[in-house]
Formats: sequence, C-alpha cells, structure tokens
Amino acid sequence: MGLIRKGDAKAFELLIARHQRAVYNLALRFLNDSDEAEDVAQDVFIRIYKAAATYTPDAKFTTWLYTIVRNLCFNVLRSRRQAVIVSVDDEALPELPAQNEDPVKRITRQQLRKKVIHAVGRLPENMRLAVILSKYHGLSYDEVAGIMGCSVNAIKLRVHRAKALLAEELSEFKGETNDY
Amino acid sequence: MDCKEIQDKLSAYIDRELAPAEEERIRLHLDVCGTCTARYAMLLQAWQALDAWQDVAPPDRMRTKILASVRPQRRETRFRAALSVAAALLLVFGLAFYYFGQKSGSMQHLADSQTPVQTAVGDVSEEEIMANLPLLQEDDFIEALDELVRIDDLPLAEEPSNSIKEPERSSLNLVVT
Ligand SMILES: [Zn+2]
Repeated sequence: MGLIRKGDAKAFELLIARHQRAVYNLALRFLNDSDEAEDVAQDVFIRIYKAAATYTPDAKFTTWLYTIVRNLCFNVLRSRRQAVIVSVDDEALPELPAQNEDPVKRITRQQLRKKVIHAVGRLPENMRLAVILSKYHGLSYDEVAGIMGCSVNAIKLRVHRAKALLAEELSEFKGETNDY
Repeated sequence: MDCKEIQDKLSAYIDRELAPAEEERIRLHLDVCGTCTARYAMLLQAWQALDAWQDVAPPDRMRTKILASVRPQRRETRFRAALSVAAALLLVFGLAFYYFGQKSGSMQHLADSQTPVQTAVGDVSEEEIMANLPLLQEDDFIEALDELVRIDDLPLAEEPSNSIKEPERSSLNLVVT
C-alpha cells in the first residue's frame, strides 16, 4: 500500500485516471447520449472532490462512485422526461474496430451493436441500470443492489426479466452472436 | 425442481449467482431437458450479444475540464496562502537572524529537512486518495508552505550567510507567477 503526501494533487488525477472510463461508459450506456454522459462524468468527479470530506470508507469505493453516477443519471432523465424517444448515438463508435474482419461480418456486427443499443435503451430505467452494472461493469447482484438501493432479490428479478426481454428483441440475431 | 422453477433461475445461473449445489442441479437438468436447454441458449445468446456494445474511451478534454473546474479557486487561495506564508517566513527568519546572529549553514539545513518526501502514487488505494482530498482543499496554508519549501530560491536567500548563494530578487516571483 503506497502512501501519498498530504494533500497531493496527483491523487485526484489518479482517481480520475482510474475511474473515468467506467464512469463515462456507465453514463453513456444508460443515457445513450455522449454529451450528457460527458457532463455527468465530469460532474461526478467534481462532486467527489467536493464531498471527499464526507466520504467514509465503510462501503466499497466503487459502490459509492457508481451510486453518484446513478443519481446524476437519474437527474438527467428527470430533466428530459418529456422527450421519451431514445435515439441511437452514432457519435459513440466502438473503439478499435477489428481491422482484418470479413466485411460482411463487420456489417452484421455493426447491425448487432445498433440492435443491442436499441434493445437496452428500451428496457425500463431501473432494469437498464441493473443490466449495465451487471453486464458491463461485472458487478455482482449484491453490489448492484447496494448501488441501486434495493434488495438482491429485486436485482435478480430485474436482470432475469431483462434477459427475457433482450432475448426477444435480439432473437433474429440468433446464431450470429457467438463471434462477439 | 420443475421446468418452471429451473427457467426462473436460468438468468442467475448465467450470471453465476447461484449457490454451487443449486448450480449443479440446474446443470444436471439442462443435460436432460431440451425445453430448458433451448431457453437457456436463447437467454445466453442475448446476454452475450450485449458484448457488441463495446466501451468507448472518454474524450480527452474530460479530464482537463474536471481539473480546470476544481483548480481555479484553488490556485487563487493557494496564491494568497503562499503570499502570507512567504511574509511569515521573512518575518520569522528576520527575527531569528536578529536574535541569534549569523550561524552559517544552519538555515540551509532546516530548509533541506523540510523538503517533502515524494512517494510513488501508483498503488495508492481509493481510501487513501479520498482521505487526502479534504486536505487538498482545507490545508491550503500548509500546502502553500510545502510549495515554498520545494522551490530552491526561498526568501531565505535574504539571509546574509556565506554558505548560501547570492540573494536572488526573482525568488518571490517564482511563487507569484
Ligand atoms: Zn426443463
């Protein structure tokens, strides 16, 4: 365990470096809007900086962090409550597209990606967040429950229902998903 | 367990959230039940399809923006703190020299001993970082002192001692700019 000098500004930069990717992608997948995701992610770290004095390490740091992301994301949803339509964000292209990939496969892959974004976006908010935290952040049901402030059973049920809904939405891609 | 019960647990089975005994029971059932196996394959495929939505790198400007929105007021308070620390130091050292006369080298030694130890930050835990952030905000005076000590040309240069190099007028400017 390393020690940092009292009040070292590098510590905060380290915190950003370690978590900005996860924070940004969580907000991006949940909100499906790169501008809003960027705003949320920035806000998360600024709030952490300001609230550091009130942080007590009884919960896992990431649980605390993701709870802040969750709260700010729901704030965004609240403020755009009128506009319900979720559009596919074409700006957020996947990083490192596979170069030597069969062009036909690549098209299918991009189609699948759009389909996935659409399907996840159609999930109810709480179900969507549970799916994102569980699937993309590799969190256990227990951790997801901690972040979302509900029981493990509620998470189990949400993820279960989400899988069923996603299976229906994505069923036409049956047999093509093994490549991903 | 009947098929309904099994299918209700397939999601948790996929996520490896079941107790080992329960997991084993489902595995054994899937070996012999085509209906549940088909359902399992469908759920698993959909879940795996989500991998097609890959992570993206956050925009580079994000980090810069965060640091910028946290620092401006900081730099200002630190600047003010640094000024008062500098003034205090001048006063203290002035008095010290007045009372104890010239003791060459001793003040240089003091300055050396106050140089903060740089520590690697690579394996610092989140808890340590968080514990440090309030210090960053509240201990501006102390940090400003650290900043001054880190700069080689302290107002110490005003000291008439032989062991210390030529006084440099620019010394305070380093802090001010
Ligand atoms: Zn069965």
